[in-house]
Amino acid sequence: MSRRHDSATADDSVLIRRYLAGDGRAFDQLMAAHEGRVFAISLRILRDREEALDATQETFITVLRKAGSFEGRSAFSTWLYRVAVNTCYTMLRKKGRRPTAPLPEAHDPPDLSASDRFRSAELRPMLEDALATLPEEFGPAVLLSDLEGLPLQSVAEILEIPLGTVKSRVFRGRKLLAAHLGNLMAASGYPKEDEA
Amino acid sequence: MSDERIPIDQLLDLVEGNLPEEEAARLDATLDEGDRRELAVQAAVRSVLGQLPGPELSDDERQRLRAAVRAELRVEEADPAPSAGRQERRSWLVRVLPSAAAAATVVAVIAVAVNLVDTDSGQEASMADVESAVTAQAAAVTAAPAPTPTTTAAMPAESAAAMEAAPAADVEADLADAEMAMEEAMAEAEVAADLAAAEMEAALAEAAEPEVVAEAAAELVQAAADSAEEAALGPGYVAFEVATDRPDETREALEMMEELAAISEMTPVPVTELADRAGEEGLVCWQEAAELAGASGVITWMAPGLVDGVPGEAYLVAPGPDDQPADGVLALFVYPDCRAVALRAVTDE
Repeated sequence: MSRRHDSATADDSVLIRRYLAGDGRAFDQLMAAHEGRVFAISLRILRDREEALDATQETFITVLRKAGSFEGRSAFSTWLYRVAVNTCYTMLRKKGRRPTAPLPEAHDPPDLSASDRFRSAELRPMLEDALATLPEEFGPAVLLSDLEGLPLQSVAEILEIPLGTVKSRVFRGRKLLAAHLGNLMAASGYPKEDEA
Repeated sequence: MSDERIPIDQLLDLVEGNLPEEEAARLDATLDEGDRRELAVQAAVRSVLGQLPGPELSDDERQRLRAAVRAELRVEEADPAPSAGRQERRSWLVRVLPSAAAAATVVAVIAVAVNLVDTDSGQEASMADVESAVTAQAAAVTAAPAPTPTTTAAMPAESAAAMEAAPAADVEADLADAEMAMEEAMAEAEVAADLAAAEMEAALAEAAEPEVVAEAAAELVQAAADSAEEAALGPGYVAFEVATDRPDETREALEMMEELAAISEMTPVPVTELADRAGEEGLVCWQEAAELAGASGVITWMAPGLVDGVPGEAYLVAPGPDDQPADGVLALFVYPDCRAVALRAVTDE
């Protein structure tokens, strides 16, 4: 665990104690420290700003209501992001809405030449679309690991699954994304490298 | 497929750079073309995703979000006025003393008393005259925005009597007025310091022997200058110095805290009500204090402040009524983890 992470964890613990003691400034500081990332995670899962705001709000309410039971055994952020992910998927289930775009049959070995084309800014919307199609099994792992830049161990703690399972899900999620992105590029007429 | 031969978690560790150099090299040597292509795609997806700009909350969204959560949890709005730095420097002394005017009076008297006692015990006879003159001039001096005290760690026991000599009318002013006065004093601190020193000097000139006055006045001028400097840092700045390598200073500081606790009007708070009361006061180290007090104990006095320049909190902890109520512990904690930096048993004896 990094020193920065330790420091942030210690800071959060202090802020929670102050919040529980009725310090309004501690509330603002906790919100400021985490609202951005909670919102980002929510928006990437829900893909709707208002729904993401609702999920962010629900996440903070849930966590801060139970802050008195936080014992600091794991990072506050781990708990917070876990609640955020669960809240988002609960909202999706309640609405009967799941990412419905079909995933590609990724049987073929990935094409190395395609990987370079991921770097194009033009592919950003496609990448967001592809992310949205990832099944619940893979999506959160890839989101937390690759988009939010969290260590795999933290991802495992947030998702409450073994580290090995996280690795497997991230690996397979990336593979699906690569294959899906290839299909999207083909469908959109995006020129292949050798055609450009 | 290559990942039938090389476990996925090892391939992923290779992509993430989690493997020791030697092991990574060994694994790399076993990769075939398919493995390398797989690794390249993994690395590419990871890199691209990491570069995707994250969505951000707009200011409006942020305000709406916080307002909604705040309302649901019934969290009160934070005070907007003080900056973090100024809040950190909120004084224990100012919170204890009933008014800014009284605080300024005490500062002046302390400055004189310290000077006289430290320089020559033979001059103690004239000290009463000096104190009397200073106290008589206190209202005039402190009517202007008042400078705040410099460090009080070295305050002698004699100063307790001087504190109690503060005018009754000033003593009755409430804490809110005191802090408001301190806020106003910030803006004109240097002017006020000059004014206070000049008027104090004039008062002393009428009341005591010239040589005593000269020394006392010099001390006051220095104190006023120091006060202006402190006031520029924030209202009511008082450094409470406690250090294990300076036992004498620590002892004096603790004595000062006892005196302050003695003159404060705080009603002892039972430990069972401590959480609520500490919440109202914005204090966070109450759990540590409660442990010292025990289940039936009380907190005689508590306040935030600086401990050797580090923000923290002070508690005067008394055991339960079945024990000896006059005994207690003065406990100082520093943030961020409410570490106890000084504990001292105190009694009324």
